[in-house]
Parts: sequence; C-alpha cells; structure tokens
Amino acid sequence: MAAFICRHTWRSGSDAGKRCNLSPRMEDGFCVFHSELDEERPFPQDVVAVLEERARRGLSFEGFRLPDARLRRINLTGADLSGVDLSGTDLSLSQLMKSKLAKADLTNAFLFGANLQEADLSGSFLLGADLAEADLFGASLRDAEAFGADLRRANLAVADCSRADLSEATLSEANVNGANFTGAKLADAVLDGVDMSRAASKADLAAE
Amino acid sequence: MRPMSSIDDELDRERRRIEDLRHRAKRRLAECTKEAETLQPRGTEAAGAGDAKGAAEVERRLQKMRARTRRYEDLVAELESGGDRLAAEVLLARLQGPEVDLLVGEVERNRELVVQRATALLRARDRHRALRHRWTELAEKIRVLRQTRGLPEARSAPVDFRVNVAPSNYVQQPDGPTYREVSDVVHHLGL
Repeated sequence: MAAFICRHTWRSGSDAGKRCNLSPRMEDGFCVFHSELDEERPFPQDVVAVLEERARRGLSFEGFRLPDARLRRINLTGADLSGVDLSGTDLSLSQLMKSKLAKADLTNAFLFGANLQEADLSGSFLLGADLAEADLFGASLRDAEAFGADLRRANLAVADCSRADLSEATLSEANVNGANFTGAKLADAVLDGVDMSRAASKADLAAE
Repeated sequence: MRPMSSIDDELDRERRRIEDLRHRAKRRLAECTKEAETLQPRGTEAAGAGDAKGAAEVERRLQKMRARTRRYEDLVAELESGGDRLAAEVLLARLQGPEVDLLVGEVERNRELVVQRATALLRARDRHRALRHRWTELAEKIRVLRQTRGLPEARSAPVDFRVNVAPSNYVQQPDGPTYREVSDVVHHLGL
C-alpha cells in the first residue's frame, strides 16, 4: 500500500513547496493536524511527543489544527505556533516560553500554570481562555482578543497588553508590574487585588 | 562549571513544585465549584421569573463552569496520584528536552570558542616569534653599526623571549587550568 501523503503543502520553512507527510489520514485527505473537518480528531497517542519533536527540530506548525487536544505539560519552548487552532486545547502546565502564538486561536483553551514568558500572543484569540496562574512575564498580548479570559493570579509583569480586549476578563490578584495597558479594554473586568498603579500605562476601564 | 545536582535532589525539587501546583489547582477547583454553586440558584430564579433568555445565559455559563471544573478535577487527580512517578516523568521530560538542547547549544558555542581561542593563541605565538625575529634584526643592526663605526658596546641586557610560567608567577583561578597544563601548552607552542 502506498504511503499516505497529506494534501497540505508547506508554504514556509525548510519544507516549503513540499507536501506534509504527517498521519493519520482523515476523510478529507488531510492528516489529522491539517484536516478541515469539524469532527473530533483521532490524534495519535504520542501526539505530545510528535509535537515536541517538531518544536525541537524547528519544523513548521503552519496550518495546524489542534482543537480540544490534550497537550498537558507539553514543552513547545520557542515553537512557531502562529495562527494555529488551539481552541479548547488543554495546555495546562505547559512550557511555551518564547513561543510564537500570534493570531493563534486559543478560545476556551486551558492554560492553567503554563509558562508563557516572553511569548508572542499578539492578535491571538483568548476568548474565555483559562490562564489562571500562568506566567506571562514579558509576553506580548498586543491586540489580543481576551474577552472573558481568566487571568487570576497570572504574572503579567512587563507584559505588553496594549490594545488588548480584556473586557469581562478576571485578573484578580494578577501581577501587573510594569505592564503596558495602553489602549487596552478592561470594561467590566474583575480587578480584585490588582494594583493597577504599578502598571506602566493605564487602561481604558470604561464600558463602551 | 557548576556541578550537576543529584537525581534525588532534582526529584525532590520536582516533587515540591508538583505539590505547589497541586495546591494552586485545588484552590482553583474550589473557586470553580463555588462559582457554579453561586450560578445555580440564579438560573433557577431566572427560569422561575419566566426569563428564558436569562435562564439560558446562566445555563450556558454553568455548562462552561462545569466543564472547567471537570478539567481542574482531572488536573488535581493527576497531580495527586502522580507522586514519585509524575515527578520522575516531569524530570525526565526536562532532562531529555530542554536540558539536552541547552547542552547541545553550549557544545556548539564552546566548539566555536575553542577554535576562536586556539586561533588567537596561535596568532599570539606567531606575533611573539615575529617580535623575536624583529629583535634579532634590530640587535644585529646595532651590532654592525657599533662594529663598523667603532662605537662602544651595548649597555642594555638582551630581551628574554621565553614565556616563563612558574608556580611562583602563576595564579590558578578556581575554575582555571593548572600550572602544569599551562606550562605544557607553552612548551608545545615552542615558546
């Protein structure tokens, strides 16, 4: 039997122009990571190891869809996960230091205790995401859509939250020392125990 | 270079870290449970008052809170039952992943450093040889000038070009090479 080749063609990175050779195959001819089907994905048992190996080798995650995947404690330090679908994904206790998550879909993702130091979350979708106790020291949340996100006891020190939508988000007891909230929306956000005077710049606290 | 800590020490550190995370996750689980309990009567109240939209909204939030609670229950259970095995798994993942990568990077950087320093060392040796040659030429010129013009003999002592490393003039740094190692290298360089 011929080996399965996914329909996805890499557009960037060292494999640009080549077809993806990941598996297993889905009904639409794409691999489980690129499939456009909405059904539950049968991710391989060793999905964490597969993704960690790709990150270590600096391989592309372009077009990956990992909704509701269980990636607890995964180490994707420095990986480029820009635009990846991680909605509802369990990334609790994961190592995502310096990872690129620009425009990534992290809607309802579970990021409890994740290490996101200096991660690039600019323009990411964090609606309803749980980032409680997450370490976002120096991370960029510029233009992030974090409506209703839970950031209680998160470390947002020197993070760039400029123009981020944090309306109705919970930031209770979060550390915002030196954080930049220029143009950020914090309408109806829960700010118990947050010393906003320690932030580098103020946010828009008024409801629209 | 800092000595590598023992497996037991590292496992102990991981256990403490897991224990701390367990406390934090448990605290969060309690918060979720409490929030769900607070929401429940509000939904009943809205339904009782005929506010279908309000009741549906509360129900939606309740569902979300329950899903979140289940995630925390799962996480707490993993952190509670994992014990030594979980600590070992976490440590192994760290050692196999970031620690190995870090070391590989260090090796690469150090390889370059060794080449750079070796080049610098050989360049210094060549310069030393060139200086010695220059000195010989200069001394010869002076000697010829004196001899041909009947000028008095030199008063200055000749320069010693040997690189003398002796226990008396070598101060070994805590992480530096020994006197013997430096002496051997200088010898091999013919200096």
